[in-house]
Amino acid sequence: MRDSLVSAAPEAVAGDTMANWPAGVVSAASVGGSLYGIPNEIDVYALNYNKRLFEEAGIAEPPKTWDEFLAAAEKLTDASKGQQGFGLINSWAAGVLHPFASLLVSNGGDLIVDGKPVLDSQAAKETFELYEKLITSGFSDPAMATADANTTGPFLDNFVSGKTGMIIMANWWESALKAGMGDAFADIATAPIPVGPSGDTARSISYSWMTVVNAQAAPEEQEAAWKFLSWLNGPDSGENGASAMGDILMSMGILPSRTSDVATFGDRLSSDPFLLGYTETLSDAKPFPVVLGGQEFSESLQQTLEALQFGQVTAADAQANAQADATEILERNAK
Amino acid sequence: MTGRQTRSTIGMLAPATGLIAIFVLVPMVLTIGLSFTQWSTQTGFETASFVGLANFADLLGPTSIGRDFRAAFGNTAIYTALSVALILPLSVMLGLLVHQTFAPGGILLRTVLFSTYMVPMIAVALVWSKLYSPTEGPINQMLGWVGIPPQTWLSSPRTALVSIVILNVWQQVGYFTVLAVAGLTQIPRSLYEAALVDGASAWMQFWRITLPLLRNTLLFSAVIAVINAVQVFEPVALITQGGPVNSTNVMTYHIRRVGIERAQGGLGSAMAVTLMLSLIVVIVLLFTLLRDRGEQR
Repeated sequence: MRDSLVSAAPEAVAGDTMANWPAGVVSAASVGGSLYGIPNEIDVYALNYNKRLFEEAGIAEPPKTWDEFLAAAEKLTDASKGQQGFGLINSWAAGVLHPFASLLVSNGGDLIVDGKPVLDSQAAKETFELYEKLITSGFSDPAMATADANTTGPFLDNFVSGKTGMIIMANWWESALKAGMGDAFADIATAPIPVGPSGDTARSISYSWMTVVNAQAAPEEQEAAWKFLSWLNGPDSGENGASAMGDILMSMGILPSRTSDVATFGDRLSSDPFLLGYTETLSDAKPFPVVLGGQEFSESLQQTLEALQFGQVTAADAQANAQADATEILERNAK
Repeated sequence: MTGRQTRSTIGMLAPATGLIAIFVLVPMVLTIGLSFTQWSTQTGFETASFVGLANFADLLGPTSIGRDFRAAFGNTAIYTALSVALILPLSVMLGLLVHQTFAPGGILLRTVLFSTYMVPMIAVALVWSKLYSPTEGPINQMLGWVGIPPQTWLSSPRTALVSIVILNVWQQVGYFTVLAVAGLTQIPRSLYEAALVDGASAWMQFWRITLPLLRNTLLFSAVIAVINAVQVFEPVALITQGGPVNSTNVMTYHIRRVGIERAQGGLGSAMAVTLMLSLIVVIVLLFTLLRDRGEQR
């Protein structure tokens, strides 16, 4: 957009998209009021937990509030078995940021509002403090949290091998869990993100993908591209009123975002117990903010959160650093 | 030289120098030029706007740009210094072991040592990331057999960079051993025979004959080791992605992150130019240091 790489959608496409997709998804695909593509895949975050470990620790229900969450984390932590209550993630920007942001929005907070960082809020303060508490109490072990470039690594291994009681991850990792756990995958259940003291309901951040059209292409090429994309994502290309894109996504176990697709595939989505924790929060999900300099913002916050994980900074310092760095980065990139 | 000779000389040199010019000199000049601009890597060069020394000022400034750059620079310096400090002595030690004729197996050892160098770094990195695994990793299990508690390796900001150095040394030491052996074969046997007649111990022979006469080999090895170490990229990109807490964020990885992922081409170029200048300084220092000692003797 900044570099004029993708073209704004024609009015008809924009109107159709606004009518047929949830407002949050449309807003994530728009900049300054203009739509820049047709959304398809959507990913949200949920609490994943190991039912076997919950049973062993005598916990009946997945935690609904942060208090319950901390109590469960404490019961699940057993240093003698090398077992941690809650699995944090590090060395992977999305793995660090998205669970944090999901806890933050479940506590009534936000990362960015109207292009400005709001990490100085009370809700953010409580979220940083939650992380600090997880670390200082030993409920989360940063040495078990590392990811590698394939978005696998110890954080996944520890959850798969039953050494991590709970973790917050996106729906797409279902296949990684199935592959890693085999029959033991039946032990895994999902639940909405626990609600923090300043939050009103369980929320998650969502991020969605979209197909865009090259702004450098010839006008007739652009026109043809929009026509094709409208068909691909429209109600006539798939079966029973679904879009062809919806069919493709469902065949890969990925959540579609078009409202009519979600309705058409409703039975299939609700019959998958793993996806249940995710689909429940879909309507309350807040899109991960799209801003100029977003990548730099994410990496900077990642670094601050990792410093907090490894006890290099206190929650108060982490919050102050995160807000100061984010302010500088977003102001510079907005120029 | 006649005009015809000059022409044929130019003609014969052109294929090689032309390729160097196109693939080395042009990108270098381009990078230097871009380092004074603000430019998105996702667009053509025509969108670059001249900003003078602003990029370099940012690298030295107080914002996260400067902080992250200096941290990456520091990580690269530590990585390079540790790698060279471990590889050079090890290569001489192993070289002596391979070169000696008192015990059999020298050639076998040389082959074994060199074989690690033939494994692609991508494979080495992926295998070592499993070896280093904190819970069920083979290295920690083996340490457990001799009563050493499990180490954090790549999972802690305190140990991650050193773990990558160890992996690098393991892979490279065979190559430098071969260089050391080549240097050792250059030393005339007669010097050792004379030293024996004079009653010099093996220890004295090493310090007075072997090491001084290996000077040129060591200089060459040091320069190559420094350049190799500064280029470190694969293990970081494949295993740690610069983490945890940016503890393994080295220059090459950081430049790619800024210049390609964030598309800040001007800033990335300024970082690349700074890295190149620093590398030149280090290499020149190495040459002066090792040469001066030679003249003093």
